[in-house]
Amino acid sequence: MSRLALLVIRLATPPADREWVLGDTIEEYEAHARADGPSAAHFWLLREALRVVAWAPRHRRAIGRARRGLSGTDLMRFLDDLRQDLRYSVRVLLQVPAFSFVVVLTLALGIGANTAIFSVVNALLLTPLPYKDPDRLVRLVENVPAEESPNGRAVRLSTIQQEDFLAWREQSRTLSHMAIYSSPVAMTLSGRGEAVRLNGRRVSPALFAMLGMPPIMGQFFDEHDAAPGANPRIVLSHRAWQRYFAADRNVLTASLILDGRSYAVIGITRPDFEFPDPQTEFWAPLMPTDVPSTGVTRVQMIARLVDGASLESATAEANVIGGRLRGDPASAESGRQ
Amino acid sequence: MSAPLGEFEQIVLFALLRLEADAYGATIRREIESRTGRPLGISAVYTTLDRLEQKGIVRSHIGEPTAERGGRRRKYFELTALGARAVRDAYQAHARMTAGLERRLKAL
Repeated sequence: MSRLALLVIRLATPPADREWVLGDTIEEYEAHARADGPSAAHFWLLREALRVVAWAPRHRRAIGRARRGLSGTDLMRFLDDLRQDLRYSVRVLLQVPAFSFVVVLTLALGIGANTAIFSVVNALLLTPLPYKDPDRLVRLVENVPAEESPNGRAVRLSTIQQEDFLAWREQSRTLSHMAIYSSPVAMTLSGRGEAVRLNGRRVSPALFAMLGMPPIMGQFFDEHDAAPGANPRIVLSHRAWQRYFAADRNVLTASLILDGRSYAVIGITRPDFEFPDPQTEFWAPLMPTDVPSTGVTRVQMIARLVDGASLESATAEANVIGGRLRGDPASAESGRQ
Repeated sequence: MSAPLGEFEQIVLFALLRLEADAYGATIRREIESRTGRPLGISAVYTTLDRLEQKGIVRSHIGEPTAERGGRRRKYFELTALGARAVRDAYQAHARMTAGLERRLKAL
């Protein structure tokens, strides 16, 4: 006999009535066992226990508790009321299915929209960027007016020509620690079992120093990585390190074959380092001079405002430099944010 | 005259009458189930007996411990005088309404 089922029935029954209720239950169980076999009796007992659980308040009332006026304000009474209210609500809603459907749909859309908006607001506004002094970080966005645009329409560009970066770096007085990064590049990791495609970015070696977030292991790029002919080195994201290398610390001494070329892994980022997006799994150095070898022509630029420089002054300066680079200083308009 | 008895209440009372001194939850439930062929939970029987007791149609008492069912005592139910009248009325009403209908019922 299932002791658990008996215990359930026992607990659902007021103490004064337990003896005869359990007695009846056991007697019934034995009668079932005699008539239909032990497994049928067992099944019956389990069902009876479930029924008692589902209908515990009614079960208690049925055996006379409410009538005798024993504690009417306990939890069972509350649960009983709650159950009745729920049943009533469901019944009423089922009577008007079209209305209920609209209500449920409205709630679902409302909750969904709220969740989506909160996710975005939380990521963009509420959670600060994990980098050093995030409010001093700026990104260059160029608004090209229609009359200067090659196709005659005003465009908003978030990238610059890679060779222009040197000019920006030389001419800007309001920005420091300038760095560029490419759009996503994918490389095939081979030589370690199954080949996998890794997504990454080519970045200025100065990028990591600019963001001011130390690696969890190893180191980041230095100025030698930007030198022509430097040994190819790579930084792995925490996620990629865990996913493809099982968080093996020896990865720092190994070299990886990416697109047939050998790279030394020099560092692993912290788990919350998601630059510029969480999909980025590696960072390789980007040299402004190696345009042909990497195929990267347009890059995004970020920088830090120098101490004392305001966003407005940096924007004004960027407008001048941007216009000059487009060859039309008078009507140039570019902005940073 | 109290409120008229419901169909299941009448069935429970007939079971009490049949079982005489041996009427308690388990036997009542089995009696009804075996005679009507209607699968029945014990809670339904308790609910009805409780209602009938409130109406003064049945009364209950706890029996002496027995060797069966782990020595647990039983709660016996029996008809009160009001109950005896109610079940007689119900039976007579039934009998009068069904008198002479047997042939027709069979032909249905």
